[in-house]
Amino acid sequence: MSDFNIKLKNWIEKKPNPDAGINNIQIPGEVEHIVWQHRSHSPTKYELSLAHNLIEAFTGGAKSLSEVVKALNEQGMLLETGDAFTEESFKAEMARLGY
Amino acid sequence: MTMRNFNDAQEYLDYGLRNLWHPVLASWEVNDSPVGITRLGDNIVVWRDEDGKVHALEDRCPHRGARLSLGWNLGNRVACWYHGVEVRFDGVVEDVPAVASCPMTGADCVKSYHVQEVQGAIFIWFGIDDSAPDELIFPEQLASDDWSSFLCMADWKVNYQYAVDNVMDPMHGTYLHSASHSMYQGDRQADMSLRMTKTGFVFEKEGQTGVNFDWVEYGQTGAAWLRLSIPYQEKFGPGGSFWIVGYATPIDKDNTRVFFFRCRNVQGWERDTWRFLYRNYLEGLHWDVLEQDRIVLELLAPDARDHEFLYQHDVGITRLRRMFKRAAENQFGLYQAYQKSKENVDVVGATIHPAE
Repeated sequence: MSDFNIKLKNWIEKKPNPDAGINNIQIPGEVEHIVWQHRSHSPTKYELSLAHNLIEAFTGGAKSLSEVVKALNEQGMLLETGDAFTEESFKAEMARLGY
Repeated sequence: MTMRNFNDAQEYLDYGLRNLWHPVLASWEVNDSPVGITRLGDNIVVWRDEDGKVHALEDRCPHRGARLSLGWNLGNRVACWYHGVEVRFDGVVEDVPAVASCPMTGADCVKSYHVQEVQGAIFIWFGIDDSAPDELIFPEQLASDDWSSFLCMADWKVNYQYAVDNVMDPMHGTYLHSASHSMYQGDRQADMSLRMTKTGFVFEKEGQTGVNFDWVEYGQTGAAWLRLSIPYQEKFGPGGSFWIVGYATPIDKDNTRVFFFRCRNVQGWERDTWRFLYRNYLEGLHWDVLEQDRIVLELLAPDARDHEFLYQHDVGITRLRRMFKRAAENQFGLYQAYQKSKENVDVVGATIHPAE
């Protein structure tokens, strides 16, 4: 089973298709489940690591923005650029990845 | 136009109540080609024009009955793959290219549906007659900018009434989902009570709010929805409980598409962080919980609803079933009357007088 949603990926460029006979018919009872409905690519190592470290930060009691950033830095979690997180860069990174 | 026939109110109910908006697809399912779906037993073709607007017609070419969803997307119309018959978004045949002059051209031959695309989903109005649709109003969790939400969909091989019963039964969380990320707390016994609201009713465990899956609300505001909240563990970040606004759309009498909007009251960096965690971690956990429901429901005894022994925890279920039954009896009569009124009208709207 795919770890991302291929249809979500395709949806980004939606234009009327000039071809017929594509057969996009959903037959009742013929089910293809999609678990990861909201991501259009497999998660990168960086994304998985950031998710793991965030959960660790929250588990440790971090609540405010400064506490979360402090916890990430203490855990050694770095931005993809190799820089440590600041409050501003963390907010920007979450805005990018948490659209 | 063909319309489904029902023998009685129960059969009508088994295919789903009408005069409601029902979500039918996620937005991302309608890309560049027409999509053929079955909802409430109707075959429907859904497509997107050049401007991204979504249209829906009965999925049946008026010529020979081929599914229009196999055909060409021509923007404001679809063309049948079989013989190229072009049907506009409003159901009128615009062209029959295989012949120079055809009486079908210009005739309103195909049922068209009112469509709205909102909250990342496509909603269709399943009206009994030609009246204008009701306004589609969402609960606060979807309507307010203070909340953030994700839609989760799944097709279950079960009649939609079982899916509704399942949500109307908060007690199952403590057992079925005891090994889940969110519903491992709460007493394994509870007294339940029911209170009416302006749009429906709330069914809840007494004195246990905020612990587990403790309450559920049924509401009807242009669409029929179910709402509940479930506590999140602190490790999943700020924002407190997450909420579900759910819709169970009948596919046919044996299959249901459930639409669960998962919502959280989060803003700013907290919103973004939840959305990031959801995409990369939480969605998988939520899916596992949903699978527990699907497995139990799909493997229920045959005709389980006909052989039940309900008790106090099932008051919410019985109340909603009564409401549905009454609505179905009322709608079945309206549906029959509407069908009868259309019996002797041909496709161009003229009354047909049977030969004397």
